[in-house]
Amino acid sequence: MELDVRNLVKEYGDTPALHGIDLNVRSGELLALLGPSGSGKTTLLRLIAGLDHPTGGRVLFGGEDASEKTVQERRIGFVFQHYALFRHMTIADNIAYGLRVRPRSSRPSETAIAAKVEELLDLIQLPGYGHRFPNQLSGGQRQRVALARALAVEPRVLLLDEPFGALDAKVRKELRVWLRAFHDRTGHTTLFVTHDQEEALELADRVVVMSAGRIEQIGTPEDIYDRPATPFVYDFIGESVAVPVTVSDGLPFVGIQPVEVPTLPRSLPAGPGRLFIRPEHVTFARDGEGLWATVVSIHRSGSSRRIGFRADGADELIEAIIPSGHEPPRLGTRLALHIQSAGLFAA
Amino acid sequence: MSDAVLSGPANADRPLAAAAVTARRPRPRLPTEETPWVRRTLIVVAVTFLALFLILPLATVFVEAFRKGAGAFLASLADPDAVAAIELTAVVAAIALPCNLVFGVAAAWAIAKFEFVGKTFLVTLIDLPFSVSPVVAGLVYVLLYSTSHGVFGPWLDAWNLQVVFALPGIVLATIFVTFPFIARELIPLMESLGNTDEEAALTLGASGFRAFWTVTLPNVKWALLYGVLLCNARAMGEFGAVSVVSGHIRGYTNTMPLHIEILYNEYQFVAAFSVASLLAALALVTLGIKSWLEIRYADAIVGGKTH
Repeated sequence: MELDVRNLVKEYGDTPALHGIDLNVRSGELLALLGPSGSGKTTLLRLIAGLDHPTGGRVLFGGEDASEKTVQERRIGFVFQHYALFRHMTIADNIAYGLRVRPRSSRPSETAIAAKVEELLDLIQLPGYGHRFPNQLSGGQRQRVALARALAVEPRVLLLDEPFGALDAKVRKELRVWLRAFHDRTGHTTLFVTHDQEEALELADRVVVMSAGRIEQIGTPEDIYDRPATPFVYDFIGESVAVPVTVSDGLPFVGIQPVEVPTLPRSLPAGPGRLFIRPEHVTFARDGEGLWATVVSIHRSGSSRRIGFRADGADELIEAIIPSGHEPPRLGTRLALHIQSAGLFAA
Repeated sequence: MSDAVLSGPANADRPLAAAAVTARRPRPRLPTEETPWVRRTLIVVAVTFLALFLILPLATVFVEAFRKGAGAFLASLADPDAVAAIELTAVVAAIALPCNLVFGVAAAWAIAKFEFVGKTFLVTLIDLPFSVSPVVAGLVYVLLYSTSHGVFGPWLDAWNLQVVFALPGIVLATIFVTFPFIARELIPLMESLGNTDEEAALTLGASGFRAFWTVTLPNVKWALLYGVLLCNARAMGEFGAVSVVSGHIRGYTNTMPLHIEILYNEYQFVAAFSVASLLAALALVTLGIKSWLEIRYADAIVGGKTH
């Protein structure tokens, strides 16, 4: 089901947590809310769920205004970071909980509930685990049970709050792949919160990058990584260095050296700016045109080497990555840098 | 293959050599361990102290109770005044416990799950009965509800209600003295559990009430039982506060502790210790169940996320 958020505002006392969020989630989409802690992503998720009340704005499920509805009426599925399984109930009872608490008129029979539980246990690949208790399961298994429990009530939207946050790195990767496949199979409109960019970029159809209660950019993982819309996104996603530049005659200058970046528009507005450069977009040559810089550091990291440069007229360390098999330049060598792609923002 | 060489006859003397090495070197003492001499002294001091101040007096209670045989013991318990005291104590506990159960759960719920102005003050207030002398607690109720000179005295008199020197006063004093027990057990546990389980229940469609019964209460049930147990032991054993409000009317307003004191003051030692042995037995049973709860459900009582 489609989900719309219109001008959603949340203030805790005088402290604003969300400043007018607008967001459209398409039906069947897997959307990541990505941001550092304190960016408001969990607050947004809780407002959509109805676990918290907004100061202003609206939430629409399938075009229907749900702002005044209680959390129970919204029919969402919510998965918590620490699973929040009911520890005194078996796995089967946990999954059946949402069906058993329904009013008698809409409650399925016990046989129907049992069948539903079996079906969901199969779906999360834990058949035969129904009689166990949560503390007899591993973290990854518990998170899958939490997902099954949320799905049992046939939610209109699935909301996951840091679903892999409490798991160790290996399980997290496995579960990530599993969740993507699971989503492709079941097709629930899903929002998940994460602070892990790798997770967001790998898993989501679209990523919403948030910072300080605002949306910085919404886009596909490619958009977010290759065409960051704001300095924050450039800084937060992947690696980059911000080099102060002065734009004149439509070209950025580092000190007195002009920098040619193929991806930048031909005519740039004049003034001070910051050029965001990613290491993988930097190449170098011994002669010819380019941004002249001195090699100041060389580090080996696994299969690659990172070469640190200091450009004439800038203090920031510009890095380039070369395969470790290649002969690195010597420290102190002066080389011409070529920037394949970069982002320019007014300072 | 090195394995084959090791198990071969050529190495048959190896274990002996290893034993010789360990025999020559005494086991090194861990940095946190004390010498055997220090350890033994500490244990002796602790055990002697316990024996003198706990075990010996407790044993005395039972020895004195049975000094003139089981017949005298049973006779003193069957005495109408003793029976009345036992009944009154049971009735008081039976009223005070549910009251404190409701209050304790409500207070713990409010403190652990919500933020509100004056929360710290409320937590401090809940501890008040621990710091106020029970006699003062009793006096307060006399000053409020006494028909002759209490604040509400004229009103109570007009409605012909007797609070002080009657069951209501005893119950009030007991509730006052025992109300921290359940709340104090629940607050840290509920705080450590947080709201997520309840939120999960709500997102699954449960009403707040339903979530409380099916999720919150089961999560705290062992801590609750633990609190009820302590509360009960204190409610039945309370002397000071009850002594002030009861008026010591034999067969009517004497609880077990008050009855014991009267008997003792009248030199009826066997009778006094017989009733006292009941209270002591109650304490022992309480202690036993408490230990069992602590061993069996330690995680659920002290809190901490076990799932």
